[in-house]
Amino acid sequence: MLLLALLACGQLQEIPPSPAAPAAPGGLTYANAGQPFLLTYCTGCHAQTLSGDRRRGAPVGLDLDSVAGLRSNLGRVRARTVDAGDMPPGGGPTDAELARFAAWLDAGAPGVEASFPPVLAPDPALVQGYTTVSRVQQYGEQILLSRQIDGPQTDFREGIFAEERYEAREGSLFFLGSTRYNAEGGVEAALAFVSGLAIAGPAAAADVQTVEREDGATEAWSPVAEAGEPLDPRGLDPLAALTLFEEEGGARLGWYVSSTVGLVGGFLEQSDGGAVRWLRLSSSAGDTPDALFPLHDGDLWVERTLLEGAP
Amino acid sequence: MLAFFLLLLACGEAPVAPVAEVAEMDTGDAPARLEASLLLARRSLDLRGRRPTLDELDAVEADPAALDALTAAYLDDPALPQQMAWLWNDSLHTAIWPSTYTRFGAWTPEQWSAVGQEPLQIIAAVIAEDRPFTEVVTEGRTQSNASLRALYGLSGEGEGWTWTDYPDGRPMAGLLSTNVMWLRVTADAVNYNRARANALARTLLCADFLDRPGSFSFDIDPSSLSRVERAVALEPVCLSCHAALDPLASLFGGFAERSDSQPLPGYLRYSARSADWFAARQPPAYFGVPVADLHEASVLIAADPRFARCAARRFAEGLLGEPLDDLYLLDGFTEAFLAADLVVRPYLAALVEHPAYTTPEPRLLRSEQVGSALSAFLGLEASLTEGLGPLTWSVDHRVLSGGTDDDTVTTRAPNLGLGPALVMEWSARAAAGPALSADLARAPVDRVLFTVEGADVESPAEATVRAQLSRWMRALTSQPVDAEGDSIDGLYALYLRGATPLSGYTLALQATLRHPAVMVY
Repeated sequence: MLLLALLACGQLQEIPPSPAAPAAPGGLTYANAGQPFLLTYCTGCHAQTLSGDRRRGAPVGLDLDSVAGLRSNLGRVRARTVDAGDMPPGGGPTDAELARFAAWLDAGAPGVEASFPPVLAPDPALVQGYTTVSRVQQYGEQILLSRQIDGPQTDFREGIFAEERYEAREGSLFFLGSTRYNAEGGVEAALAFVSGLAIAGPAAAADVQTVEREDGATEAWSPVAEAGEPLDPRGLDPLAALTLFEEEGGARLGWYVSSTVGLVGGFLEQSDGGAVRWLRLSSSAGDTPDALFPLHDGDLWVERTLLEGAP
Repeated sequence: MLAFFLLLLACGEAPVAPVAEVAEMDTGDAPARLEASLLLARRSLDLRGRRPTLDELDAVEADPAALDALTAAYLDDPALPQQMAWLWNDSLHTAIWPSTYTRFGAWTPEQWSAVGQEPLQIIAAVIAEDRPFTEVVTEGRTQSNASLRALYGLSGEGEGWTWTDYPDGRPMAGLLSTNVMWLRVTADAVNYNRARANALARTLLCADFLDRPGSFSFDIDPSSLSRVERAVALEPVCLSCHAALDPLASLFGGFAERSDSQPLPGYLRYSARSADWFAARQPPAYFGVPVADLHEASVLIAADPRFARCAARRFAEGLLGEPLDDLYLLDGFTEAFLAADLVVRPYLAALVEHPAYTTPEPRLLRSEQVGSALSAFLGLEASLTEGLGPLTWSVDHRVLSGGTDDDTVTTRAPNLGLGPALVMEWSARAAAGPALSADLARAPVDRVLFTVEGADVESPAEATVRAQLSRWMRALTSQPVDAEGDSIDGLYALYLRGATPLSGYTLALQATLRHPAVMVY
C-alpha cells in the first residue's frame, strides 16, 4: 500500500544503473563529497563552534564546517590536504577519498549549504531572543518549522515583547496562544485556547476549525490568509505584516486567520498533512547554524519576539 | 559455484542433477538480469525471509509482469522490518553476542535474546512504522518485551515488543541509548570510552577511525598512560583522529565501564554523575559541534550526511550480499534513500530494481534466512532452542552456515562451503520427519507439506508421489521442476526405499533439503 501510494506520488526514484556513471565531478556535491570528508577529517578542529583549546591549534577563522567556509579557503585546503598531504596531520583519507575530494574542490566545491545544526544546549546566549520570520521545509513526513534567530540576543528584561506558545500532540502542531507584554512586564493583550489551534500536521487538515478560548469564547479559524487581507487586528504581532505567502520546499507558508475575529497568529502550512516531527530554528543572518529539535507528543515550547526596546 | 554443486551431488546422498541452472550471465552490453521467478525468490527471501509460494511462482511464470505486484506485496509484508533489522546486526553485532557473555551468570535463552534484540527491534519498529530512518537514533524510547522488562526493571505490558521508557533519565538517542550497545562495546579505565565512540562512527557513519591508513611514529613510552593521554591531546599526528574521537567519547561517560565485580544493576544504570565527570574532563562534541549529551548528539547524527549515506550503504550491502566499494554507485543509492525521505520501504523498492541487485550471480542464504525459510516451508514453529530455532540463534549453527556469532566471527562467509552443507544435513535430519508427522496431524485444508490430493493415502500412486515431490523441490529452490525428470527420479527412488509411505517421504524430503540449490538464491 505504501509503495503504491509512493508510486502515485512520484516519490520513488530510480537509482542510476551504471555503477561508474558520474566519473566526471559533475555528480559531486557538498552533500555527497565535500561535507562527509570535512566532517570526518576536518571539523574536529576547524569549526566555527569551537574556540580556544578546543580548536587544537586550528587557526581562528579557518573553519570548514560550512561550504562557505570551505570555499573561502579552497586553495589552502587543496594545497594542504591534497597536494602536500600534511593535513590532517596524521593522514587518514584513503586514496579514493582524496581523489574524490580533490575532484570536488577542483570543480569549485559545488553544492548548497547543508544544514548541520548545533543543538541548542541550555545556554542562555543561544536560546534567548527568538524573533520572526518563519519558514517551513518539508522533509517527507517531517515538517521543519523555522523561526529565525536575529541578533542581538536579549533576555527580554527590558522592552516590549510577544510570546507565542505551541505544543506537539499526536503528530500535529498546535498553537496554544499568544501574549503581548509591555515594558513593565504587564500583559497588554492575550489569547489562549483550551486545547489549541492545529496549525500543522493531520489535525490541521480541516479548512475551518472551531476552537474554544480559555475565556469561553469560540472562534472559527482558516488555515491561511489571502494576500491583501488585514493582518493581526489584535496587534499582538506587528511582524505579521512581513510575510504572507512563501514557497519553500514545496510547502506553503502563511498566516492562520480567524474568520470571526480576524488574524491573530501567523504560522505555517504544509502540503500533505503529514506528521510534524521536527522544529528547526535558524538564523536569518546566516551566522548561526540551524538547530533541529525532534518533536514528541507533549512537547511544549515558547517563542518570544522582542518588539520594542534594546537588550 | 556450479562445480561445487556437482561435487556435493556426486559425494552426497542428494538426488543427482540440479533442478535448473541460474541464468547465464549476458555477455552483451546490457547487464544480465535474473529470470523472473528467481528474482521473485530473491526478493521474497530478502524482504520477508521465506521463499515465494508455488502460486506466486506460477503467477510470475505465466506473466513476468506479475513480479511487480508481488514485490509490492513483499515490501508490505510484516516480516520485512525484522529481516532488515537482521541486516543491521551485521554491523551492530548484538543479536547473538549476549549468548556468549556469561559475566552475569546464566540468562535464559529468552533473556539473552531479548538483550541482544533491543537495538534491532528499534530498527524494526521504525521501519514498520514507515518513519524516517533517522529516528533509530532520535527516538526517545526503547523497545522491550516481557523478558527484557523483567531483566531491566522496565515498565510495560504484554509479551511482544513495544515502545518503553528507560526510567533512569538517561539521554535518549534511540538504539544508542540501549544497554546492550555499551555492554557489547565496553570501556575501561584507559580508553575513556573511545571504543564506544568509534563504534558509533563505524556503525552509523561508516567512518571507522581504525580504518584510517595514516602512519606515524610513536616516540613515547606507550606504557605511560599519562604520556599517551598528553600525546593524543597535543601531538598533531594523534589529533587527526583524537580531535574528533575524544569529544565524541565523552558522550558515553554515563554508561558503565568494564568491571569484574559490579553486579548487573550497576551495569545497567546510567550515571549522570559519571557522565558529568567525563564531560568535565573532555567537553563532548560531535565532530566539532559542542553538545551536552547523547540526546543532543543524536539530532546531529540524524542531520549528518554521512548517516544517510551509511544507512543507504548498509541496506544495499545487505541486499547485494557484498561490500559496496563503488562510491559513485553509493551516490545513487544515497540519492534514492534521500528521495524516499529516508523511509526504508520505498528505498528498498528502488534497490531491488537495481541491476546490481538483479544480477544472476547466486547468493548464499543468510543463517537467519535459512531458519525462517525452512520454518515457513515445513510449517514448523521454531523457538530459540527448539525445532529449527538453532539455525537463527545457535552460535554453532550460525557460523557453520556462513553467518556470524557477533563475538569472534563478525563477517559472513560469502561462498557456499562445507559448513552450509553440514547445516542442511542437520536440518534435514532434525526437521523432515517431525514436520511431515505434524502436517499429517493437521486438517487437510491446513496442510503445508501434503498438498497434492491423494499423497497422504496408504498407497499413493507414483504420479501423485512424483507430483508431491516436485512441489517440494520447486518450493525449496524456486525453480521449475519436471515431475518426470532426473531429479524427481532420484527422489522417487529414495521414497521407494522407505518401509512406509511416511518414511519414504521423509527420506525424499531429507534429500530435497540437502540439495545445494536450497541454500542459494
